[in-house]
Amino acid sequence: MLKVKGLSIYFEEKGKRQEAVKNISFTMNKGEILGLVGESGSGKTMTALTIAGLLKTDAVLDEGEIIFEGNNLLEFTEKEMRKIQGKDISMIFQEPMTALNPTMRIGKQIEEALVLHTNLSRAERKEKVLKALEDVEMKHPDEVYRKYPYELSGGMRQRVLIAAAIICRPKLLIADEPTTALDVTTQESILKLLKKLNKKYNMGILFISHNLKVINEICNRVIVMKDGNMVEEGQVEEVFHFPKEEYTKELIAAIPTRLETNPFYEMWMAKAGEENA
Amino acid sequence: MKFITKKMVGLIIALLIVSILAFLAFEIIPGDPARAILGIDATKSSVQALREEMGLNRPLPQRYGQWMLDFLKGDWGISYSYQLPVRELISDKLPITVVMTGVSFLMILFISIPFSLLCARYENKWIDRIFLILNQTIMSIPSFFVGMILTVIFGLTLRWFVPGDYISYKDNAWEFFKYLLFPCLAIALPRSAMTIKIFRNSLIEQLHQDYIRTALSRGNSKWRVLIRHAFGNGLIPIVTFLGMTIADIAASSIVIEQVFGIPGIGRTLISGISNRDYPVVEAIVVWIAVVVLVLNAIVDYIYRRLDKRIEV
Amino acid sequence: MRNKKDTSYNFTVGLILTGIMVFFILLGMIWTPYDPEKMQGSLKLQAPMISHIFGTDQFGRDVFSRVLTGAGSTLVIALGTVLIGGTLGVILGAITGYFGGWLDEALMRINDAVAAFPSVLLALVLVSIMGTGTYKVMLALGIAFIPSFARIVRGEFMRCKNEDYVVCAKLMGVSVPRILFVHILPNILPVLLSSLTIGFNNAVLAEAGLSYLGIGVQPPDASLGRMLSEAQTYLSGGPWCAIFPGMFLVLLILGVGMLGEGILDRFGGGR
Repeated sequence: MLKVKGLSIYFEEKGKRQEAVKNISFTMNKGEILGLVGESGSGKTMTALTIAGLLKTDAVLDEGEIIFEGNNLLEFTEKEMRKIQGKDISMIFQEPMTALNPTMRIGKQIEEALVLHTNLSRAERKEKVLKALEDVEMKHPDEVYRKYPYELSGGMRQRVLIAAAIICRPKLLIADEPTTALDVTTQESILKLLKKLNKKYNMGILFISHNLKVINEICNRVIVMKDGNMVEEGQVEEVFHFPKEEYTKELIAAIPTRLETNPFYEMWMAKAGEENA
Repeated sequence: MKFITKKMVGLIIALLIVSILAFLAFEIIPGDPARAILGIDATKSSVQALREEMGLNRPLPQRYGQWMLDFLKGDWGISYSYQLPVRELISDKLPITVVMTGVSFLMILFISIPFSLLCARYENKWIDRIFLILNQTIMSIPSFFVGMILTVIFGLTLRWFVPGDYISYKDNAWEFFKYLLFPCLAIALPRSAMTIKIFRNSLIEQLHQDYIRTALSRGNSKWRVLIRHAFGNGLIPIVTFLGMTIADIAASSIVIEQVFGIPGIGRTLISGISNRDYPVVEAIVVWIAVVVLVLNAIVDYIYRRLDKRIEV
Repeated sequence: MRNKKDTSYNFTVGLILTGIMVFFILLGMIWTPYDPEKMQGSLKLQAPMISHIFGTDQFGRDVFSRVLTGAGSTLVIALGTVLIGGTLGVILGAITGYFGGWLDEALMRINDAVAAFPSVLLALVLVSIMGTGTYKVMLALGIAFIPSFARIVRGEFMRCKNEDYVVCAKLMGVSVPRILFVHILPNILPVLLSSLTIGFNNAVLAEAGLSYLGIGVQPPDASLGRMLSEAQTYLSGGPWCAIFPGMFLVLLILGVGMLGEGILDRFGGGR
């Protein structure tokens, strides 16, 4: 479904080229949940934004190919990209509290993708919106339809955002740290919801996070990034139990767990000891 | 509902305060109205007699009460200079000022909104920069000077209108309206420049918010996002400014009337001030205060309705 | 939003422009090329030339000299207005903003009632009671501007009174006047200075308007507003009589306006 080939994202400052993403390549199959993990500055968010077509500014340049359903997205005009955004590729972001228009009703915001990409009548759109709200497990969809964002909690808003993103049944949903700003129990329910939607609609999810536990829970495959480079790639179980690269091992070792159960605790302690010696 | 009543009470209190201040300013401080009417040479006894007749010797609260009652009944005093009821003097002039204020306000909206959107859309591009300089300059030109410039360019040179050739609405409504276009433009231009500046800033502030990014991710074009999302939210902080604008326009119209020779209440007010004709000045000032306060209350209400987060 | 390049542009250009205008005005106070009142019948309505760079008016008076002296009145009145309105407004705003309570409520009600009024109108009212003339206009405008200054200052004091440094000062037992004027005031200085420049400009506009209408500065005192009203009859025959006074006003307002913007750009304001 999605094939990234030799993607580089860079800025040009005073003739010098500053690279945020350095020549990465990966593929994503239909209906799979691919995790993109790394620390801040690893380039994972920039990669995601570029795939979603949200990074077209004068300052940021890109090289390489992003092949989606046979087309190179990097060669699309803005107009062509807009046809895909919200319909075939959707995105949800980290901060549900500020991601919704505060003075517009929930229903109107969810149906926006339908307004932009379909010719459905108002009644037909309302029907789809209510169904989408049901899909994301909102109780009393018809009440929520008329509400304003400030009347909803963070978890509820994130569900609304998910509903808005899936309403056109996109092939790819890009989720940039969707649970990071939520409390732990809400996190769990959102992750379960995403897994459910992935199965129900065979919708691929590109899941970005710095949190390995979350990645472990939801993803099939995972890509580890560091400083703009792809460091490791593979099935989630493999990467977590048999990491090949040093950096991956460090990341796993840094997960707060009970000391006895962390397989890399000794290695990490030894390394820390070296540095302090 | 409870909130609206609270607001109404506030409005009434403000109106009362204004009325008390006006009463003090024009009835008490300037001195003896009876003497003003009769002139400096009047004898003491005739002044006293007039004072009795006018009820000027009664206690202050009583005088205030009477004044209020008279005002509400429609008796707005008798002009010292013309010896005519003030009501007669100003009632046919009020519509002119009202029309001018309304037309100027609409002009401001029609000019500011498109250009603000344009500047916000192309933030920091050359068109935005041009407007930055243009706005700053036009904002600095007094409206009556704009009026003079318009007179020179469009009146004297291009002859699109004849300066000073005012036509009353009673004679020809269309010509009346046409004549007012340039005066209203003179009022509208400097204020539009200010409005463009702050509306553009408000819009840009909105465009940097998260929800805009969400809207873009659904496939909205930049223009669409500006108009469907940023515009509504960006308007909210501007509503108060627009309220003040209406008051400011009313004040400007007084001066502009002089530039174009329009017989609105501005002229009457000015001659009233020069001649110390207090009843005239008082009535006009009170009316302007009432209109401004009511308008501000309406504007405040609209503001609260727009921003759903605030309780109405 | 403005980027770095525009930031410095406002302040420096504003400062330079204001500086130039003020220089000329101050110069005009001690010396003018000609006596501004001197009428020369033979030189009526002459277009600008080397000996009279702004031309002459309908009485043969040198426009340049008249503009300089007129601007002098404008400057004096505007400064006086800002001084009166600003000082009293700051005191009023500081007290109501810091203490709050019923005094704040009551004063703010009155303030709102008065502030909703365009200040020009207020000035008109005060002038009508007190009479016309340079100093009365200055007093009228000064009083008329108190509400707007008070409101801004009150807002700032309310914002600052909960800041850490104020709470600490209170705990240390610093006296109230000291807290108000030694601790808080310097922190709101950028916003205050910026509103002073806005007030200055509004005062210039108001005075010009009042004088234009004939109820501001009276002869023999000069005023740009009155020059403009006199020049109106001669717009076709001698447009320079109106152009130069007008342009002087515009440049002064522009300069001060940019200076005010520049202050906010350069020195923040705590927002």
